[in-house]
Amino acid sequence: MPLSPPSLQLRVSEEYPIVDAESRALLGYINQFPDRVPLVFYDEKIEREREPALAGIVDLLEHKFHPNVHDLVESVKQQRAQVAGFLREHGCRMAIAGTHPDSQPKQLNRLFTWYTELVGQVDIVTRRLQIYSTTIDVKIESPAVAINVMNGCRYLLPHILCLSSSSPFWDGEDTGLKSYRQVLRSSLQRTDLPPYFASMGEYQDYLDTLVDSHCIKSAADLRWDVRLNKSQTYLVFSICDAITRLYDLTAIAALIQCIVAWLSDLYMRNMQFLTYNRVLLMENKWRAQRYGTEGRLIDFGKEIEVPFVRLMWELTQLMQPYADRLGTADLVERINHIAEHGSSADRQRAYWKENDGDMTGLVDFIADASEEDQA
Amino acid sequence: MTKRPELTIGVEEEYQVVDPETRELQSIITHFREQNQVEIYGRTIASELHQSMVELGTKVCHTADEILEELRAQRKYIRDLADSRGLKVVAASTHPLSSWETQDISPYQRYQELTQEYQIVARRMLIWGMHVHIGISDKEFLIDVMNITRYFLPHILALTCSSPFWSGDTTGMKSYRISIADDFPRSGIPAVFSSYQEYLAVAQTLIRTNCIEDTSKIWWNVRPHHTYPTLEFRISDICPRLVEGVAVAALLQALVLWVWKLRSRNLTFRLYSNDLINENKWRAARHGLDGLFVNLGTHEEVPIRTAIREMLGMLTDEAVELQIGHHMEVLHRILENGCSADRQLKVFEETGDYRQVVDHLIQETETDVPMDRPYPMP
Repeated sequence: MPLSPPSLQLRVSEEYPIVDAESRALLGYINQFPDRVPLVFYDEKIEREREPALAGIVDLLEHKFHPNVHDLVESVKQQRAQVAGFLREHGCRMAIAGTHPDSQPKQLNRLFTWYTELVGQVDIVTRRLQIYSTTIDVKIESPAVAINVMNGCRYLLPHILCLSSSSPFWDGEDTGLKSYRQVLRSSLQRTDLPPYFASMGEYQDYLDTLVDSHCIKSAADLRWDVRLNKSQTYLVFSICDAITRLYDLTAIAALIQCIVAWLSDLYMRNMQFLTYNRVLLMENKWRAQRYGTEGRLIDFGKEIEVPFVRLMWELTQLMQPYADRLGTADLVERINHIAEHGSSADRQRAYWKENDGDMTGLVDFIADASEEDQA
Repeated sequence: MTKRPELTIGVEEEYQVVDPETRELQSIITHFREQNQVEIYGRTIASELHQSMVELGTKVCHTADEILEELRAQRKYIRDLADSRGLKVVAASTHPLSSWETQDISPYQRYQELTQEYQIVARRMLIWGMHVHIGISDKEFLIDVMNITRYFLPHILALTCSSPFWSGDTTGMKSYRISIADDFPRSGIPAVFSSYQEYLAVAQTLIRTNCIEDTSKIWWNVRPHHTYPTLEFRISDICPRLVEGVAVAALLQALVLWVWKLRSRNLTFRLYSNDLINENKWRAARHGLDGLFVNLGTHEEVPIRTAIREMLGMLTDEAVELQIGHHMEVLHRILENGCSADRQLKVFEETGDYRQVVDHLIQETETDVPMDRPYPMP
C-alpha cells in the first residue's frame, strides 16, 4: 500500500504546578504521565483539607487530538482559563514553568509514594524530579515515516528547548542555566536525544531487548526528548520545559508541526536530513540548557556558531511553505519574536534581578504570565 | 597484526581532606599549593574544582604490583602531609556530610572558568574519582578497546561504588557520584567510533566550533587521553581500600590484553548501543552489587555478582599471563563481602551517625598504608 502523508493532528499535555495564592509555596501539580490519565499530586500533610477540591481539577482537563493548531490553541486556552478559575476559588494558582523557583526537593511525599509503587524505588534522583513539561504530540500514521522524522528532528530539539526554556531557578537559587529541568531529567535512564535508528526493525530490536530484560514494560517507558508512542501512530515531543505563556506555546506547537511536515515531505521525496553524531547534537543541547535564546548554536553543516536569533530566522524561512500550507504562517512568525525578546527563563531572570531576588514576586510573575490569554 | 599494547598502568586518585574533629571537608588546596602546580618532596599535587579536593597520580608502572607500591607511597605521602596540618585524608567518592553549597571553589583560572561556563552543574561537582590509564600507543586499537570495554563499565562501577551519601542524606544509590558527573556535557559512556579518524573528526569539530579548547574537556567514562598514549578509564568511584583500587586497575589491564588476544584471533566483542549499556550502568549506580544486570546478548537478567564472576572467568588466561591472580582474589572478596558503599551503609545503619561513617572512611583509607614517616614534612 502506498504511503500517505501524515495527518499532523496535534495534542498538548500540560503540567500545571499549583501554588498557594498566599504563601506562593508549591502545593502540588497536575500531571498526565504515564498513561495519559490526568493526575493531581500534592503533599497530603500540607493540603489535606483541599484534597477533594484539587482532585476535582481532573474533570477540567481535555486531552484529544486536534486537526490544526488553531483548534488546539482554543482548547488549551479554555482549559487554562477553567483550571485557573477553579484554582482561584480554592486559594491556589498555577505557575507554569519547568521548575518552581523556590521549591524544596523534599516536598510532595505523596508523589514519592506513587512513584515507589510505579517503579519500586525512591532514590535521590527521583526525589529531585520536581520538574514540569509541556508535551506536544503530532500524528504520523506510518511508523516508518515516524522513525525517519524522529531521526531528523533530533537536530532541531535544542532549538525548540531554547524557545521553551523556563527553569532557571531551583530550590531558591539562580542555577545560572536557562533550563535546569533538563539536567534533573537527564539523570534518569532513557532520556535526552534518542539514538539514531536506521529502520523500524532496529527500533523494534532495541525495544524488544528492553522489554525482554524487564527494563521497561513498553515504549511508554521511554523518556527521550522525542519518541514514538506505544501504538506507533504519533511522535511525542517532550523536549519543552512547561511553557509559561499561551503565546509561546502557540508558536512552538506550530513550529513543531511544520518541522514534522517538512521532514515527512523529505521522506516522501526519497530524501532525509543529514544525520550527525549524537555527541555533536548534545553540544547544542547543552548550549540550549545553558544559554537559551541568548546563545549561539552550532550549524554543523557549516561548522560555525550562529546566534540563535539568526538561526530562527533561517528556520522560519525554511518552514514558511509548510506554515502557509498548514495555515499557521502568523504563528510561526512569532518564533522570531521569542528569539529576539527571550523565553520565559529570560523574563523570569530579568524580573528577579530587577526586584532584588524577590522569589515571592517571581512566583506571582509566573502565575500572571500563565493566565495571560493572548493566544 | 596489531602490535601488542604496552599495557602500562597509571592511576590518578582524588582525595578528600577532612577535619578530624568536625569530620567536615576542609578547604586546603591553597595551603598545599602556591602556584597552579606544586611539587612537594618529589610529588606533584594537582588541585581540583573545590578547595577540599586534592589529586595525586602515580608514575607510569608496568605491573599491578608496582602500582600497589606506588599507591601505598602516594597515600602515605598525602596522609602525612595532611597529618602535619592536623587533618585527615579520605578516599571516597562523596562526603557523607558536607554540602557543595558551602565549599570554596579553587582560585585557579581553569576552575573559575569551569564554574563560569557550567554554573550549578560545576558547583555541585563535589565528587572524587579514580582514573586508571592503560598504555595503548596504537590509536586505532585504542579506539577498538574503548568501543568494546564500554560494555564492562557498569561492572567496574558496581565493584567500586563508594558514594551512597550526599550532604547528610542517604541517597538510595550506591554511587551517586556517577549521577552528578553525568550532569556535565561530554560525560557518560562514549559513542562507538568506527576508527580513530572518526573520533578525531568529532573532536576537531568540537574544537573548531568553540565547544572545547582541547580534548581534556571530553569527560567520558572512558576516553583516549589528550596527552598520554593511554586509554583512561574514569568510571570508577574511588576505593577507600587501596588494594581494591589496585585490583580494579589490574582488571582493566587484563581486559585490554583480552581484547588484543581476541583481535589476534580475528574476533571481537559485540558492540551495543549506549542506551542499552546505560540500563546496566543505572542498575550498578542504584544497586551496586546487589541488583540485576541485563545480559545484552541473551536479553536475560542475571545477578550483578554473577555477571562480574563471568567477566573474571573470561579473563583467567590473561590473569595468569599478567600474574595478577592475587589481585583478582581481592575482586572475589568484594563480590563476597560487598563494596565500600555497602560497608558505609552498614556503619550508618548501626550508628545513625554520618560522622562515624567519616571515621570509618578515614580508617579504611589508611589501611594498608605504612606507618613509618620517611618524608620530612614542611
